[in-house]
Amino acid sequence: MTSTVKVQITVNGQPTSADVEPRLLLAHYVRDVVGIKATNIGCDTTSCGACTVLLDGESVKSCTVLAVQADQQEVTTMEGLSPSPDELHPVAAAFRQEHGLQCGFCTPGMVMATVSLLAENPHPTEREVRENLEGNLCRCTGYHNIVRAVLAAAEAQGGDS
Amino acid sequence: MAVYKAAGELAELAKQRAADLLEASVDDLEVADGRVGVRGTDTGVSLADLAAREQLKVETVFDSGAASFPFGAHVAVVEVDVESGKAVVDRIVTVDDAGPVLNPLLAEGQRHGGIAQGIAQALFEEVVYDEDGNPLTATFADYGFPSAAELPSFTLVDMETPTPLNPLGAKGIGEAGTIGATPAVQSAVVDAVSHLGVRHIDMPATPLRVWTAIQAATEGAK
Repeated sequence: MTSTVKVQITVNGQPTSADVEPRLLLAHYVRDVVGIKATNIGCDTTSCGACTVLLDGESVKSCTVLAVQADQQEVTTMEGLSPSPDELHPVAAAFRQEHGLQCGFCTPGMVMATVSLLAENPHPTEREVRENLEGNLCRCTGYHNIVRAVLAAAEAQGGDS
Repeated sequence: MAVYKAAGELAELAKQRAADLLEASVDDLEVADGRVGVRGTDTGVSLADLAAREQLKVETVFDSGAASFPFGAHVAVVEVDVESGKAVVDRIVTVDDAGPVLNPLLAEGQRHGGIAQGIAQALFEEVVYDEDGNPLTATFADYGFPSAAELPSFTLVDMETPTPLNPLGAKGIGEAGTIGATPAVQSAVVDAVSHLGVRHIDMPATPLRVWTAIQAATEGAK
């Protein structure tokens, strides 16, 4: 018999709760327990960053965070970022505007990592953008338009430093 | 090209059907905004109405007859630390001629991705096996996959030479970056250390390989 642990996690502003196995990963909690699928699982080994979400505002790779570690905390995924499809979060809007994606698999992770980066450093240089997104891999874009999108998002968010 | 050709044939078929229906000459008809109309009048019929009467369908085959040749040139500026052997791409300027481009945004994206992969092949990426055939590069932790930090932004220069082999003049673009960037970067690495006597380095030009090549060349010179 498997023992379970009760967790209470606020996901995109909504309280969620479940009895989960202690080994359950946050990525699987979000995708399979809560049932929202924007958070992609790429490598399962913390290398690719596709599963990046915000945990109490900081970006984490949710394939190597346990759901029980997120107990009593707040998780934000790509679904929780923009108020509506017509009213995109500035970072999501910039990725769309600058064509910062091709196949789209890395995009939710890239966007969440960017939100976290710009919260810490609202006006990064190109070099800083590249260094800070090092943990998020993309095979399609060569990062060119992703970096452009991040710089454009920083510009659009203005001087809220 | 097959879609382009089929669309043209479908428009002709729609005009012939509309000509019968509207009792007009095919030569006076034009297809625009989802309908076939008599030029210069309000008379016309929608493609949906025509298709409702009888299916509008064509099948066609496009054969280019020969292969088209996209071409271009890639120039790389690479800096090599001769003490560690580490090579860094400072700049890459590329010209890739795909003929007339329908969607520049997507075509640029294809070039960006290809350039990144081409640079990575020259400097980082290699599938390695041990003597027993066990893969040693089976995860992203072992395989040299480039992140944004290892790459510069790219400078793209446009050039447009249509091929006579198809009606749109279009040529390929998807793999252009991987073809040009790799030798440009690899040659730049060798060029950067050629004053030390290095003439060749196997790809990928990892720090160990570059450093070893420099050691071998400078020891030979002593």
